Amino acid sequence: MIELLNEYKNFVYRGIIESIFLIIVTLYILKNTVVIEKVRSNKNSKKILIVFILIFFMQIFDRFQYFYPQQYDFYPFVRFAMYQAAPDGVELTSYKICMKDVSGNCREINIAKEYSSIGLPSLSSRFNYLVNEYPNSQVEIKVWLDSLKRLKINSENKVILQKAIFKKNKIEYINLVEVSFEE
Amino acid sequence: MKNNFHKKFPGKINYFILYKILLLIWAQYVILDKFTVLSNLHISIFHNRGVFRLISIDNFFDTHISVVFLLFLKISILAILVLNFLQNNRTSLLIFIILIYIYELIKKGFGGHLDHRILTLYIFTLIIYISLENDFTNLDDAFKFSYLFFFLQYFFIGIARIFSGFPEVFLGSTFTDWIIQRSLRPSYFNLEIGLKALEYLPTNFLNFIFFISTIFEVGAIFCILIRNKYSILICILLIFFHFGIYLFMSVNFIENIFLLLLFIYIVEKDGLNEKIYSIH
Repeated sequence: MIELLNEYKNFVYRGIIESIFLIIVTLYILKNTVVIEKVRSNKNSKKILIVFILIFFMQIFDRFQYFYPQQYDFYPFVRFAMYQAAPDGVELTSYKICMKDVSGNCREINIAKEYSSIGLPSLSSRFNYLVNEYPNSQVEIKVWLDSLKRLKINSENKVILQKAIFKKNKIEYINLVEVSFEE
Repeated sequence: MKNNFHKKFPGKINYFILYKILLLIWAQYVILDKFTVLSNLHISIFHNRGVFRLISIDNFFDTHISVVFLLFLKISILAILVLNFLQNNRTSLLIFIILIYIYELIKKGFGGHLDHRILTLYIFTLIIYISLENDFTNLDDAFKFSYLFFFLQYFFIGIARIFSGFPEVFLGSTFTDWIIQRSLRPSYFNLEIGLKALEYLPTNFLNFIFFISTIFEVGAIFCILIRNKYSILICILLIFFHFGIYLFMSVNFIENIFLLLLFIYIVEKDGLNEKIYSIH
C-alpha cells in the first residue's frame, strides 16, 4: 500500500485536495440551504445523517483504491473505478473468445452477452485483469473457457482466449489459453 | 392510508404511484437479468466478499452454484416486489433490500465489483427505506432525500474526474482511447458506433464533449438547488449523456435514466426545489 502511494504521489495529492474541497462544498450546502432542516424534521434523521456521512467518506476513500482486484471495498455503497481517469491512463487492450473447428475457423463467443448478468463493467474489469496477469491467471482462464464448452456446435473442438492489442489502428490477436473439448 | 397521505401532503403528485414505478424499475432489471446462467461457472473462481467472507459459498455448493438456488433467489425477489407493490410495508421493503444485497453479491463474486447501473438504484431504494415512516406518510420526503444522494453521486464523480485528471485528461487522447477500449472489448450488442465516430469526429471536439459532460455531472448538484426549469434542463442533458455513454461505450445506465425521468416529473408537477432544498 505504501509503495502504491509513493508511486502515485501526484494522484494522492490531488485526491487529498479534492477531498478537502468536497468537505467544504458539502458543509456549505448543508449550512446555506434548508437540506439539514428538512432532514432534522424526519423521524429517522439520525439514520439518514449516519448513512450520508458513511457514503460521503466511503466515496472519498474510494479514490485512493483504484487498483483491481480490491481486497476490501465498500460494497454495496461504492463500486470499483467510480472515479474514472486511472493514474496509468487507459489501456488499449482487449480480449476475444474464439470457438474453433477442425479447419481452424473462429466463431467469436460474446462473453459479455453470455454472462450479461455479471454486468459489462464488472466482467470487463475481471477479464482485463486475467489477460494482464497471464500466465499466472491461466488456471482461472481455463475455468471460464470450460464453462463455454456447452456452446459448441458441429465440428468445433476447442475454445481459445485471445488477447487483443490495438496498435496504429490495427488489432493484433495473441492466443493465451486454449481448452480442447477432448480434455 | 392513501387518504391520510393526501391530507398531510396535499401536493399534485401521488408519491405512492412513484413508489410503484420505482418497484417496476427494479422488476425490469431482475426479470431481464440472465441470472441463472451463473450456475455454469465453477465455484473455484468465485470471490467470497461481503457476508460470504463470513460464511463461504463453498459451504453450500460443491462445484457450481445450483441453478435451483439461483432461480429460487430470483423468484423470491420478484415475489417480494409483488408484495411491496400490493401493500406498503417497510419490513417487506427491507427484505427486498437484503435479498438484492445477496443477489448482487453473487454476481460480484464472479465479476469483481458492483455493476455501475445498479449502485445508484440500490442506494436510492435504501435511502427511501431509511427515511420512511412505518405508515409511509412521508413518502414524498423519502423520495426527496433519495434524490439528494442521487445527484450528489454525479457531483462526486464529476469532481473526482476534474481533480484527478484536469487538464490533461481533457486535452490528450484519454477520451478517444477510452472509446476505443470500450468498443474493442466485448459488449452485449458489440456496438461499434464509438469507433465509427472516431473516424469522423476530431479528437478536440470529442474532448470538448467530454469536458462539457463532466461539467454537467458536477452541475447535477444544482438540480436540487436551483430553479425548476434549469434543473430540468440539466436532467435532460444527463439523459443524453447516458444515451451517449451507451452508444459510444456500451455501458448501460437505464436505471439512472428512469430515475432522472421521475425527477423531471416530480419537479414539473410539484416544484420540488422551491419547497425542499431552497437556498436561504
